[in-house]
Amino acid sequence: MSFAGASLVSLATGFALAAAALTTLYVLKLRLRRVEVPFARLWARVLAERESSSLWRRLRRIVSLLVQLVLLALLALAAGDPRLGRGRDARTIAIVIDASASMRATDERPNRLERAKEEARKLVAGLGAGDRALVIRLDAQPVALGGLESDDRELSRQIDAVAPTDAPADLERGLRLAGDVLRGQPHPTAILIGDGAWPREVLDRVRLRADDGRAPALSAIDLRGVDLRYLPVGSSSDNVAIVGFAVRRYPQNRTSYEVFVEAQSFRDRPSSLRLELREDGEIVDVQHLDLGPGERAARFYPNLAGSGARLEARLRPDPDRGAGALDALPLDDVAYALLPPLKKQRVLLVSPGNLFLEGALLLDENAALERVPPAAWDPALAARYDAVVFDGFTPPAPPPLPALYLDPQGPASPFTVAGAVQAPLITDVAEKHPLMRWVTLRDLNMSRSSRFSLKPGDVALASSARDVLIAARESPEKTVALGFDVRHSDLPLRVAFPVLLVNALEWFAGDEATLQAAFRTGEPWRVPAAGDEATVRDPDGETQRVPVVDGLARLVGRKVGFHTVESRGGARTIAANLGSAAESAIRPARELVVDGKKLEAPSGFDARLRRELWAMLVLAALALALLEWWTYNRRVTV
Amino acid sequence: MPSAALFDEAFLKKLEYLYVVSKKVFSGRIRAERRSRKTGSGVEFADHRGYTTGDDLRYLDWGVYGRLGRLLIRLFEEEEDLHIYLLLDASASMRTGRPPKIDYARQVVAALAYVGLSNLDRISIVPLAVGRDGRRMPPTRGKGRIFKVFEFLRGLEPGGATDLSAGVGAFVHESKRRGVAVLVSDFYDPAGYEGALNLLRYHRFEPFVLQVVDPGEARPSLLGDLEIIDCETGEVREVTVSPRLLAAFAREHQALCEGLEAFCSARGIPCFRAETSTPFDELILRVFREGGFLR
Repeated sequence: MSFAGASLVSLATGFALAAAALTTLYVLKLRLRRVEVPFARLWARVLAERESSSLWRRLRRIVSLLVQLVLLALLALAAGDPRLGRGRDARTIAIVIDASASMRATDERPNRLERAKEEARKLVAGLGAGDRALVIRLDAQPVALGGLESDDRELSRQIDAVAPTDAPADLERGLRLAGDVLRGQPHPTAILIGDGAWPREVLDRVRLRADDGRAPALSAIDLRGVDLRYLPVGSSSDNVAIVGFAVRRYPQNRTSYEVFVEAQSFRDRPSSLRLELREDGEIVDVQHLDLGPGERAARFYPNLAGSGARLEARLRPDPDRGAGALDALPLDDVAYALLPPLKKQRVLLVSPGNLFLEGALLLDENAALERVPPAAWDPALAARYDAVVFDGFTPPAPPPLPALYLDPQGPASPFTVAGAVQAPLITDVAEKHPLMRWVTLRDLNMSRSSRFSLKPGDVALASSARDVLIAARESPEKTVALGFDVRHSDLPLRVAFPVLLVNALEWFAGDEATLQAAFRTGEPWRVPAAGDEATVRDPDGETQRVPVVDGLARLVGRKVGFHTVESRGGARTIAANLGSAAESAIRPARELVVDGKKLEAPSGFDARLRRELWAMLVLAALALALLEWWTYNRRVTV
Repeated sequence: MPSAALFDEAFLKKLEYLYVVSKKVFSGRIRAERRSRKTGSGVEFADHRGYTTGDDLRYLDWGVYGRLGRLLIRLFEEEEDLHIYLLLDASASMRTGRPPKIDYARQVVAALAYVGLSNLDRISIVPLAVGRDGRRMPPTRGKGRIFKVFEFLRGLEPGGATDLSAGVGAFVHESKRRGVAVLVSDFYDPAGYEGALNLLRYHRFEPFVLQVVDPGEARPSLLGDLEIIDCETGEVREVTVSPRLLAAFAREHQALCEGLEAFCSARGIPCFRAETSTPFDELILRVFREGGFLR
């Protein structure tokens, strides 16, 4: 037996003092109540008959004293909070429960996570006297679900709060969190409960030993001095998964799109599968797929046409080879993607007439072009168009929509004209900017060009030495300016010209660059949104509010499927997939070797140690007090 | 209860009622006032006896002489006052009880005295307690004397130890005229009551025993550690009172009462036990009903 409350010495001292006081009170002669009786001799006769039992009478007094002493001893013991079992030094324990997607595998009933929680509850029930613990949920954003506690009910509540996610686990952050919590605590112990399907690269950076005395590298996960234990969960590696799913529209023909699907088997046996592709729930394509053990296969679906937006790829068991559940982890048997919306851009060309320009713009099938002469320009027109191209004309005030300027002049120029350069040669191009994708300006000839002076935030797309000839700006409206008249250059004769125009219009539309066909769970998502806050509704219908910063709603998605992001700018649907081969590899690790040491199973968790006796002792004391009260009032012990 | 309030108007009414009721009760048995066994100058013929010299010739039965030729003197029963002695235990133990036993005893004695006085008997009240020798109410008769009885009883303060034998011994030697001796006491006498009752019998008194018992004393409701003090002797004793002890005490008290009754029954002495919770008039009627007190 061990004591979790007051120490044995203080208990013994307290008991001795109280017992001495109690005995003194018993020894002291109490002042008796005086009663006058008419005939004391009658009492004397009665008492004389009972003299024979005077020994018992004295004994009864002793029995009463003993009962009181036992009562006192029970209370003193209760104050010591005794626990059954062998006592030992108090430990500080971090119970790290893997709640990643692979823990949803159903090879354990009902699934691995529930099994892990059950194991965690057993550990909590076996905490020793003075042990303190906390529960860390290991998923994409590991978090401690409470403070260090010794109350098993509170710890059980923390364990119950561990919910499954569809995201990979961030083991490194989880281990660092455990290390931070345990640092400086007595007898630190970290217990990993999971399937062990964690990146080897992370495990290799864990440092458990401090033998060389040197500080570990910054990249190392410092768990020196921590007793790291591993409790494996899971029994099967039966899983096939869609590990890659991508979709995109053709740039030149946005009514068509292509899809890329990649599937992988993590089984030890061959798999015969059916790969279904659906568009808005309707089957578009079905393919038979045979995968050997560990084999990865890619399928490419070119030139698909359709008006739908939601794509879904799903692996199913081949009906010819038997039905039933495909594998232990259904989560990664399906992948979702969104097609970029099909939308024609309305473009206004303000030009006195430029065949090169009109011809290049008419090439873009995604743009509906209208032309007005500069004299007909009216800022009110802006509301009817998605973008405007000013050819050799500079409006007095910039329009409230994306605009492409060709050779702007005067003080109203979006970029300050700092002079002119004669026959410049392009020397620097911002190749990574979406505007310059597939655009080559090498050896471009022009007679002259304006030289722009840039403000902070402006981007120089093309420069001749230090002279900026093509510039772009993102806010308040996306603006691009070429410092020269294309008719005085050979640009219209180059492939780069229509490409540059298409890029500019796509950049203005904004979708292609920012739209992502599908996000990955567990990663930070940035979704275009308006206002300060957006509401995200996940596939299960649960909603959460997320902040919107710089026009992007930011969140970490945890569920696979289609999400809806609602903000002041309207609703937007996004798709999310697991898309992690590491997470789909659900083969449990029977043992883990970290820093050259095999992690042992947790030990020293004996359920008897947890059993709290103080309540029973107090109840026993109460029962004894009641008994004493009853016997006193019945004059049995006096 | 203050002694003045013992004998108020209501009490007097009750006494009158008792007297009327008692007359009805005993009307079949007693037609007139008491007669002595002496023969003398009464009007009721009793017997004949032979003439001797000196007898009053007025009582010579001439009719008998004419028929039988013998001189016989007619004897008449002589009417005589009955002496009723009310021996009241006035020891300190009578002071105890709720209400005090002495108050109850006073009322009973007053009632008996009233009935006696109304019957033209001679009533004498004798307090019994150590140190009370000589303080007694002399024999008196006549209904109008009841107030004197009240006054005497009011002035009676209980105190001193109980010694029935000594008190009765003094009484029998001082009282020349025999009569009914009603002993009203709690009979808490360390020396016992037997000697006192025997003394009355030996001296040809007709003893009546009336034991006054307080229910609270017979079955006390004490509990716990106590120091009990005898109100007469001052004897102190430490007692731890338990329900079992209380039961034993109640049995002992019952044995004391039953012992008294057995003693009296064996000797033909009427004995009544009166609990102070019983209204005194009910007791008086019971005493009359069971008979013996009035002839």
